[in-house]
Amino acid sequence: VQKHAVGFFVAVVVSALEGKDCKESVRAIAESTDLSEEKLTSLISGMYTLLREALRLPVSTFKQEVFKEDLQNLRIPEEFIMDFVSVVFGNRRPVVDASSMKHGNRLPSVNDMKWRVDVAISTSSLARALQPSILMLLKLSDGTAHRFEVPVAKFQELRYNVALILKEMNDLEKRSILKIQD
Amino acid sequence: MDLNQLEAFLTAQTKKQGGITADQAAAIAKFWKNHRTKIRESLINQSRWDNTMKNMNWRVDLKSQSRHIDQINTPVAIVEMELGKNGQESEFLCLEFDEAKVNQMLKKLSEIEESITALTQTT
Repeated sequence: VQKHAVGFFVAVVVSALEGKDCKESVRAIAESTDLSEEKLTSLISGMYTLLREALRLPVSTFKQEVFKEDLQNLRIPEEFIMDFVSVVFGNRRPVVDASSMKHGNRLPSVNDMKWRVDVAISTSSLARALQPSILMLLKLSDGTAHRFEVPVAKFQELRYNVALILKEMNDLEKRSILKIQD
Repeated sequence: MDLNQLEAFLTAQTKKQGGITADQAAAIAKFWKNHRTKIRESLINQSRWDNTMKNMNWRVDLKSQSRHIDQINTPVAIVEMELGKNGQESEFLCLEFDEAKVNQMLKKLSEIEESITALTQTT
């Protein structure tokens, strides 16, 4: 296998790990080399698995020497080791990490929130209501939108709870359990 | 009507021919004093037919690991909101917030709070 070809394989595998569609690039690889399809398949999926496992580990505790040693033990040819190392410890690492955070399993979150304070002046049940209430519109990351009314008393409850959540999150971050790393 | 208005109204009723007695007036006054807020609230609820937020529950989790990341260690808030119309089954909305989102949310809620305070002070 040519040296520059391996560099290209690694680039394609990394973009696959970032969640991009790599059908075209893989086809280009298949056309550009004279490797059998079978060999190519095991080569690319092997690289994918290897890098996926290596990228799972936090940079702070994963040592470059250890990784190099592991690659040597896997009998990866010496001239290709740097290609793998530069993915895991190179300057693209934050981008890769950010994309795996984004592709994680999660509940929808709020993208946008619009609000309006209404004061009902007069209604069919009450001549002079003069009662404020809040109309809220939440646009979520899954594309749905929810509109609902919040009575003032409920609103105070909501605000109190959101403030409490923030405090709890701050407290949690301060706790030393989070700083334990292996 | 407030208590002064009520008193004036009841006194007028006792003086009217075929009106009510002073005892009845006192009973009505007592009833109104005790239940005024509840009655008003119920009447206000009757003119609310949109979805309303009925309740909320939340939990703060610590994300530790995932398939692609060995150590995440960031807190995340899971919030469940109960939205529903009067007399109908509620819908539960489950949301996830990271710290920045909670902060944003709190800021917006403070804006709303200010707006309500401004409104209720001038009236």
